Amino acid sequence: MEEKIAELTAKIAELEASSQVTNTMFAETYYYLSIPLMVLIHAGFLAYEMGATRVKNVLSSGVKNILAFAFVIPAFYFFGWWVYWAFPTGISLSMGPMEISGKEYADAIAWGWGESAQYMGPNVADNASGVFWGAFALFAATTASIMSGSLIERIQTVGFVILAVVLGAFAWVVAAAWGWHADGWLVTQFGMHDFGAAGVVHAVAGFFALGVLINLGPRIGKFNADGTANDLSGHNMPFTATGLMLIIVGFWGFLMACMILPGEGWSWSGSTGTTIYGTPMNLSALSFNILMGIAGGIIGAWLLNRDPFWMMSGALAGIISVASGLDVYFPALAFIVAIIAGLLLRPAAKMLENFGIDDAVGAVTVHGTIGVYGMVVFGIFASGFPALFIENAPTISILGQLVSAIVCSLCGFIPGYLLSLVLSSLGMLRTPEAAEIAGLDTTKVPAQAFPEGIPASAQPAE
Amino acid sequence: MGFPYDKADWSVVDGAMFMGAGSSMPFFYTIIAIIICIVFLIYGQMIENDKYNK
Repeated sequence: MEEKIAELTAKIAELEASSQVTNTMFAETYYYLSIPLMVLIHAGFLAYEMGATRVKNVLSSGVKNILAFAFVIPAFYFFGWWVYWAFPTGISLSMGPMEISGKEYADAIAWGWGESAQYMGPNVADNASGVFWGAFALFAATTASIMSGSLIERIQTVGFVILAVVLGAFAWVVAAAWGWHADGWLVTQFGMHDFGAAGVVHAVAGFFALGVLINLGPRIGKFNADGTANDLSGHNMPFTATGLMLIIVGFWGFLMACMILPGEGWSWSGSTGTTIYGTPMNLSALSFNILMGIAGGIIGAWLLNRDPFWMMSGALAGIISVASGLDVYFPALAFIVAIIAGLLLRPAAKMLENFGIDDAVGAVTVHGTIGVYGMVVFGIFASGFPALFIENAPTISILGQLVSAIVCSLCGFIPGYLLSLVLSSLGMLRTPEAAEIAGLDTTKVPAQAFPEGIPASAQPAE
Repeated sequence: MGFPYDKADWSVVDGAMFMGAGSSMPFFYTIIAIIICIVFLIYGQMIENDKYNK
């Protein structure tokens, strides 16, 4: 009998170990696959931005976008990941109540040298650090790409790369540490909840872009002497619309990576998926609300504007408007919130234009304005929800969401404005007037976008 | 609106946890969403007809 019990106990232990291996492999694969899905966001931004550019600048817009990706990834490796783990409690860099933050903790896991280097490179005993870092690095690159489109056709390449690195590897990371981390002071003090990063990614990037646009100025020919605006249409609307659809595909990867899987040493729960705050959620919630958000945003934008560019921007705005609460929105409510976001788009972009701001692709409006709208509206409907999984957790409130939205916006606007001011004073921001008039491709790209023009098709065979 | 459980604590949650769960709000949200769709379609048709007429 005892032998049988021992045999059964050994078999149970073997099964448990095998099930844990499956769980670990699934978790690793889950985050790993979110990375190429998020690369689609960049394919989308590339197409969207190049399509929205006039032919004379099309390749330089592409080069700029590709370089943002290339420089933000290593910058996030060099110091961005450390910032995320060091800053949650604020500039004191002290450890928070969950004990997964502060300088000491970040020093131990996030530098590419010394003892912590074991978590920043191949390590057979660590299935988590690389895929988490990879997913966050793509969040970072996405944030930088959001700004990219608004600055097209008149920004210098190196100046832009510096802006992208500061936004992608520092500015949004600080906001994420404060409001997208269980130890973040905006979470523990104000009950901030921003599941899908409407504030910490979109509002930060949108308002960073606004700060840069103020110093960069409009494209030549955008505004007339009397202040009225001209439409400087891009060369390829279908390309732009397709790019926007690719961004939406990539968003599924972005949002799935915002869920913390159960059953691992680093999980918040042994049995259910959770948000980054440890509150319970699942992928079904995302499926309902992302789809309803996309649909609502398109419909809202269509009503006031039949332009497919704004309709597809409406799809993005729809997702962003409900991103903070994708885990707890009721789908019909998410649809209504997203419709209003779609309705807001064009008037908000027009208002910005009336202030003399030339945002070539509407990034400030789609990401900044709608990011703030989404954060605050969520505060109205989710007041009273606990913001963390712990007992006596702070609760979500309108005031908390409003304060958090303002902090996120300032995390973007202040560094964007100041850094672009410095770059401008160093002559590294705006391209010379003659180069802008001739076309940036002619000035700096040793290739032609359309060497044969955009020809009619050859005659078909008989 | 508000947390759909008596105690504002995630440990008591064992089912639907969306805004308005267990109340009549989901019904109203759904009806409002349907009405918006219909109104938008009617308005959209009117605008398009105006363009045809021009």
